[in-house]
Amino acid sequence: MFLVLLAWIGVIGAHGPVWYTNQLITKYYMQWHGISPSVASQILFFATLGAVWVYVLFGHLSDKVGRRKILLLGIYGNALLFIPIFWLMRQAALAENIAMLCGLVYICTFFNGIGYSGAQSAFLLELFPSRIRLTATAFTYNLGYGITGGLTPFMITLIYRFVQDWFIAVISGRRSSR
Amino acid sequence: MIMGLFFLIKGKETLGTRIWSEFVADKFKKEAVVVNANDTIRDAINKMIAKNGRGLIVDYGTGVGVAYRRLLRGAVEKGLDAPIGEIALKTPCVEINEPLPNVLEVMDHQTPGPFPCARREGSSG
Repeated sequence: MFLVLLAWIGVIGAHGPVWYTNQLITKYYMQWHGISPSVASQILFFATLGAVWVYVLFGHLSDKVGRRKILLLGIYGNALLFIPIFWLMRQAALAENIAMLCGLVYICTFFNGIGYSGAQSAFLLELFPSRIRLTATAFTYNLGYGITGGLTPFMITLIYRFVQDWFIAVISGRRSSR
Repeated sequence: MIMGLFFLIKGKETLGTRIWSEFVADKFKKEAVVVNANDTIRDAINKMIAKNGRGLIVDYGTGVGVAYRRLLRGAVEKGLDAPIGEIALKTPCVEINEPLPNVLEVMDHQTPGPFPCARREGSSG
């Protein structure tokens, strides 16, 4: 039970909102600040495509330096990064500076690849004993990304209702759901 | 960040965990007929047929070997009264509580590699 809670809350649950913010909210965040949906989708698409190698690299690095360090970098690195990134993203979107938006979204997808890399999969496999490995991995993964992470858009929208500011809503929404 | 604290404080490093190490040779071994190296091929084959075995473990006293059906078929020309020890393949032997990765390593180095056998106060499977 402790291992399930550790994986669900400590790892997947903590990274779920990071994933949703990096791979979903960035697109809507650009739209909320005046960028057309198709341009926002294209930016996110190419940024994600360009960051594919990060998933492999940090999975490989976790084989060298350990899963824990990489996962903590993925969780807390993003937490610190989001504040300046989303602030800059708002400025870039309002100025319709597409090149800068591309760079900022790429940084988001890059950092997303750290926590979501092979380190996470390997950690889950190594954490649970073989008797419950498949069930426990599937259960914690889906609880973490489905429920904890899945609440991120809801939390952000809810907070926006009160503060009427997307930047504050994204930053605090992500934090509160974590 | 709060949820991540749980991992920061209580999370352990898992690198180096051998994920199949809980499986040991005993879980995968198949019961085998054990014969003495001095037994004749005829006796060994009879014992194997009687127990519907797929192969034999040959006990040399100081080591073990295996003799499986194809090997026995080819060895019949030596005469059925030859000792089984002469035609069996000597193999390494792993303990029944040996972790699966170690067993796989042994199998990997065992060419042409029939199988290593597990032992519990003597060969067992």
